Amino acid sequence: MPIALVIDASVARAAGGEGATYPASKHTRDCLTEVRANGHLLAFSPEIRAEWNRHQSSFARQWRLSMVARRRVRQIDSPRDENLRLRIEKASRNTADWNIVEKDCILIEAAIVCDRVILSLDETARNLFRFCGAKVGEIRTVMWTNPAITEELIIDWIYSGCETEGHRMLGHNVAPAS
Amino acid sequence: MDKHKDSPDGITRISVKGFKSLAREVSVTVAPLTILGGANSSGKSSILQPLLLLKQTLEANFDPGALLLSGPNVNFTSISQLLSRVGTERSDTLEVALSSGGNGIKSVFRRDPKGGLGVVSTQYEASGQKTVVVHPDMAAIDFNDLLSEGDKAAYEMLSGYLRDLWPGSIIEPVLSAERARCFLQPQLVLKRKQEDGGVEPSPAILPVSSNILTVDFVRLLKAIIHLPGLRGSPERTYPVTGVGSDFPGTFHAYTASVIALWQRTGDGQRLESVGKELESMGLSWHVRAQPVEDTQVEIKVSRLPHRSGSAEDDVSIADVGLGLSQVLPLIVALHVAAPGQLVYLEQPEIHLHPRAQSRFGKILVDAAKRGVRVVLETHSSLLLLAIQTAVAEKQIEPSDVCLHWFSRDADGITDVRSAALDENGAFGEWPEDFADTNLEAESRYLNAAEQIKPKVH
Repeated sequence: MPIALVIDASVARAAGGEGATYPASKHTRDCLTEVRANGHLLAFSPEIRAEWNRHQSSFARQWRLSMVARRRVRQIDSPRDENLRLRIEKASRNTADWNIVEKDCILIEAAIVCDRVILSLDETARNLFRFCGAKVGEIRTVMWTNPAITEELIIDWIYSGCETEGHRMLGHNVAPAS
Repeated sequence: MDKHKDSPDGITRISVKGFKSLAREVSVTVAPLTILGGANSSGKSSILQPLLLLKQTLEANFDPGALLLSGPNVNFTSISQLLSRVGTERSDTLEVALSSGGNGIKSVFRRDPKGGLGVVSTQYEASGQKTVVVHPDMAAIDFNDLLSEGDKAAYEMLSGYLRDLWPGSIIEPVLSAERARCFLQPQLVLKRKQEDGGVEPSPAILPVSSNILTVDFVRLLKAIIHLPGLRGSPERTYPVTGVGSDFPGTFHAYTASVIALWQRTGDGQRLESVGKELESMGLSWHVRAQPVEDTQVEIKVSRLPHRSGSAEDDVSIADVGLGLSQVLPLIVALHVAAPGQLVYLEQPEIHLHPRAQSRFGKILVDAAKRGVRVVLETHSSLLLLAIQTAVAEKQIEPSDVCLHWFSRDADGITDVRSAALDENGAFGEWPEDFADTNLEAESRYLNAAEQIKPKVH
């Protein structure tokens, strides 16, 4: 069953070109190739599209073009949710943390209206969202995976349909705050 | 979109069975802009080659039989080369069908065990009328099935006239199938049965409506403009040719004379359009024909790709890059073609820089909008992308573009997957697309290149 994945521009940037570092670049390319080969969709909000336009590598551009041509891009209206952002801000440890995660809220918002899957290389944002997950229930079941970390076995997971796996969720091992 | 709404239909569908790798019937829609894609030897050319066989048969200045196998458009030296083979089994039958709007015609050719290839039946399908199959055993057919209401009225009138002419005679209709090159045509002969039982042919041969249909399809087939992938080296001069609405053989030989005609008749608009399109591809902004005595024409093109200086600053087409001499016949053909006329381009991207390939997409789109039926066989992802872009930019209706992807199964038999574009220019799932190859090649290169540590000097 194909699902719509939210793919951060960090993945698009890392997939080749200047600044790409091996083997992370290879892992991200393999991951994008696997998404395409298994019939999954790319979820695109206007904000994510703008980020891709700024950062995408040549390989990611080709890949995206092919996804569009195959009707595999789910265009979604801006899912901006001020209420959710307010609660994430409140759940953040401090303003510095909030400033880091604020720009990545576009990924969380898009994932919530799609199939709750995010591919991103941003470990800082993932850790901060995990922290917020204790207080913000909606984000706990969002699965955030990093294609550059081979231990996450993302290729096999995509191949098997991105089934729900607790350890990929932002709420994994996070006790809900009372 | 300034689409040519009143364009005649032209050829709208082609079906082939039993030709080379098309062992099973393959049927493709011909849209105003039709793209044939697929790997080498997947059968792309084989869908059009039977039409080219019909064209060269109809254009021969002698009766070459049912099909002229070796001609200017396609060249076979034996029947075995064109009939399908699956394993060790070889087909002995070739079927070719064409549609134009609501009308259709289908001829079946069969290898004669004694040698040669004959046409064994022709099926006629006229809009709103019963389908009729004409074959040598026509006597068994109820001629009421064959004749239109108009034919029947003509028959009644003519037989009444003959009865008046020969009182007491019985006027008997006899159907026969007459071969007209690649088609069998029905013929109704009114014979006079005498009182003593003898039958004498009368001079009365009644035209049958199906024959009129044949005339329409013969016209469409002869009007096909064919530009093969190998378009020859540029020449210093080209022989003068006649220029009409049809271009027997392949088109490139007519290019110089068409340009010369436009100059003579003051058709500056088409000449200017050709120049603008060449300029958009970064090749040349001006083209003209220079007669050399009465038998030859030289093609001259601007030395520079963009307008700077006079139109006299030009050189022979033989003195510029091969890309220009290869693409000029294509552009001239697209402008000389009338609405509804089919222009078949094989590998138009050959010798073109990627930028020129991309710009050529717009030229194809504009031709389709003028009503020309453009069929192109291509391996160019850039050309395809340019057409997708034109759809997404609403320069052409998605329904005016059709993509057919050819592939072969394990037995070597061609399968065709057809895709219509949506309003975003997307074609959906194809068995394979150019992007697979591009991504694989790019990924492989990056995997190798990124592992090399830069040298420190």
